[in-house]
Amino acid sequence: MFGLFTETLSNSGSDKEVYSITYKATFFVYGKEKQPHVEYMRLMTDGLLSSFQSYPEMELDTLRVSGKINQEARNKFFSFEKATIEIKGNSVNYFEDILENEYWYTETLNHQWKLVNETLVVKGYTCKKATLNYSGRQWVAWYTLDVPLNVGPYKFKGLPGLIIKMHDSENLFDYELHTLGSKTARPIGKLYHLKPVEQRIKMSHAEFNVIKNRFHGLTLNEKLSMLNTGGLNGNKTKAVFIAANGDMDDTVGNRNTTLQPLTIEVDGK
Amino acid sequence: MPFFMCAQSFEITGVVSDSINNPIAFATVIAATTASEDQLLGYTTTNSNGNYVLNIKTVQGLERIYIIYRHLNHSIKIVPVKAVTQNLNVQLPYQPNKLNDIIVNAKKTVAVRGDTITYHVEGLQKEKDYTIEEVIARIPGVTISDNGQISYENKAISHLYINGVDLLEGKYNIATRGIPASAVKDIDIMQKHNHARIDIGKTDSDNVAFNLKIKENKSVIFGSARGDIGVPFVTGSGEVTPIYLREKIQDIASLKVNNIGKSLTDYGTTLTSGNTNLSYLKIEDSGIINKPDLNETVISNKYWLDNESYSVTNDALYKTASAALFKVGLNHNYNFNEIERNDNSAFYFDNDSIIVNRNARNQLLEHK
Repeated sequence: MFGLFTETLSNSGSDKEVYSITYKATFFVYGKEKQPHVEYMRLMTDGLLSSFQSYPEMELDTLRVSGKINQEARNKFFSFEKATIEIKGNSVNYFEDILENEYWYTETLNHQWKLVNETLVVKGYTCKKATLNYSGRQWVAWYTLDVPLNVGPYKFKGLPGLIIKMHDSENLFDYELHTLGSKTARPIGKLYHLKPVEQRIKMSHAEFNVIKNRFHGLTLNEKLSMLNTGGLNGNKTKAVFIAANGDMDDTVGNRNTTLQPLTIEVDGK
Repeated sequence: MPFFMCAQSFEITGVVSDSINNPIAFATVIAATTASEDQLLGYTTTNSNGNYVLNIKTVQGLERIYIIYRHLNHSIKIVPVKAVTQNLNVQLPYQPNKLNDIIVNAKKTVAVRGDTITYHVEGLQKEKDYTIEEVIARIPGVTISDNGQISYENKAISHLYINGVDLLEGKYNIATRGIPASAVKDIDIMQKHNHARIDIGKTDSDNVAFNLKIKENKSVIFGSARGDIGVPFVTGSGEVTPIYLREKIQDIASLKVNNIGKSLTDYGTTLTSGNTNLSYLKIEDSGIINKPDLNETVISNKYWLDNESYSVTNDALYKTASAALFKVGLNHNYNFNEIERNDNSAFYFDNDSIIVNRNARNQLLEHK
C-alpha cells in the first residue's frame, strides 16, 4: 500500500514544512528492572520520509561526525537508544552506534495492523485502537484520525492517523506523545548525521541483534579497552566483534545477558 | 465440495487535489460505516501524484458508506457513496495552520488562568476511581484526610463549590464521596480565594477553594449506592447518595448505615479551614463515658467495635433570579457503640493462687 512512494527525495536543500513529533519512551533494557528508563525521542516526517532519534543521540551524532566527541560528551548525552531510524515507504534504514562504530541494517516493513473498534482519549486526542504482531511482540497502538499522518514511534507506521500511544503486551516498551508541531526545516535527510557509507558496518538485522547482545555482555573494562584499541575511525577490520576475515569474531563478548531487545524474531540469519 | 469463502471487496480509486487542481500528496483516505467513523472499512494514503486506491471489505446489508479525506493543510471532506467499485475525484480547499487548531482542541489535563488552575477530570481519572474524591486526591499538592477533609499544599481548603455555589458549606465530604467521578467535567482550584464577594479587590486572601463543574448532561439526577455484607459475623454497610443538580436547584441527600465498626460521626461534619483539629475535638466530645482501657488492642476498631451507625443528611439550595440563595440543611447522625471486655488473670504464689475476673461493658450513644 505504501509502495506507492517510489519517487526520490529532492535534495535541493531548500526548506520545507516538516512535522516534528516527540514521544516519551518508557522502557526496560535488562528485563524487568526496578525502574524503567525514560527518554524523549523525536520523529520528523514530511509525509514521504521520516526519521526517528532520541534527543541525546541527536546531539551525539553531530559531535561524532564533526569529530568533537569525547568522554564528557558521551556521558552528558548518554542514551540507551543510540539508533537513527530512517523510513521511506516501507523501507527502513536502521543505524545504531556501538562504541564508535556505526552498524547499519535494512528492513522491509510488512505491518499487518488489525483495527479494533475501541476508542480512548489519550493526551486529549480521541484515539482508535489497533493491534500488531511485530518480531515476536504483541503491540497495542492508539492512533487518532484527527492528525492525518501515517507515522508513529520506532518502526511503527501505516495507520490512518498519527500513533498517540503504543506499548507491547508486557509493557516493556511504551511510547506516548509528548509534543506535536510543524515547522519549516531543512529536508529530513539533513536533520541527522550518518557516517559516510564506506565507514558503516552493514549486516542483517539478526546479526546486529547478536552483536548488540554481545556488547551488553562485556564488562566496563572490556568496553573501554575496545574503545581505545579497535573500532575507531571507522576502520572495519578493527571493528568490534568482526574478525579480520570479515566474519563474526566468536571469541569476544560471547556471554549470556539479560538484554531485552525490542525485536526478538527477525529475518536475515 | 471445498468449504471456501472468498471475502468480497471492492475498490474506490481517484485523485485528491486542491481547489486549483494541484494534486495533494499523503492525504489519508478512509472508508467508514458512518460519517463519524465508528467502524473503519479500509484506509490508504495518496501518493505524490494525489492518486489513491482504496480496498474496501464488503459488509452485508451495507449499501451506503462514507469516504473521509484528510490532509493537514486542507479541510476535511466527507463523501457518502454507494458501496460499489467506482472512481472518485475530490477537491480539498487549502486551510493553513490546521495542525495548530488540532493541538489546541486536544484538551490538556491542566489549564491555568490567573489564580485558577483547572484540572480536566478525564485526563486525571484512573480506571478504578469511583468517586470524585479519588480523582481530587490525584491532583498534585492535594492531601485528603480520613474524614474527607481536603488540603491543598498543607492548608485546608476554605470552600468547595459545586457549579459555583456553596451548597454544603463545610460538609463537602457528602459531595466528594457521593458524586461519581464520571459526572464531573472539571475541577477548578481557586487560589487567593475570597468568599465574600464584596471584598474582592480589597483584601488579599491566601485561601484556596475548589469548584467542581458538573457535566451538563449529568446534572439532572445521579447518585451512588453501595452495599456490602459480610460473614461469618452478620455485618453490613450500605449507602445511598441521590444528588440533584440543576441550574437553579441543587439537592444532595445521603443515607449511610453500617455495623462494621466504621463511625459515621465524621460524615457531614464541617471540614473547612477553621476546623482542622476535628478528630481531636471528637474524642473530647465522647469523653463522658470512657471506653474501657483496651490499650492492648492495636487492631482497627473496624474489627472489634460493635456498633450501629446511621447518618442521614439532606441539603437543598434554590437560586432566585435576583441572585439570592436559599439553603436548607438537615443532618442527623446516630451512633451506638457497645464494647464488652473480659479479663481473666491468675496470679500464682508459692502456696496460693488468686484468680481475678474483670468484666467491663460500655455503651456509647451519640445523637447529633
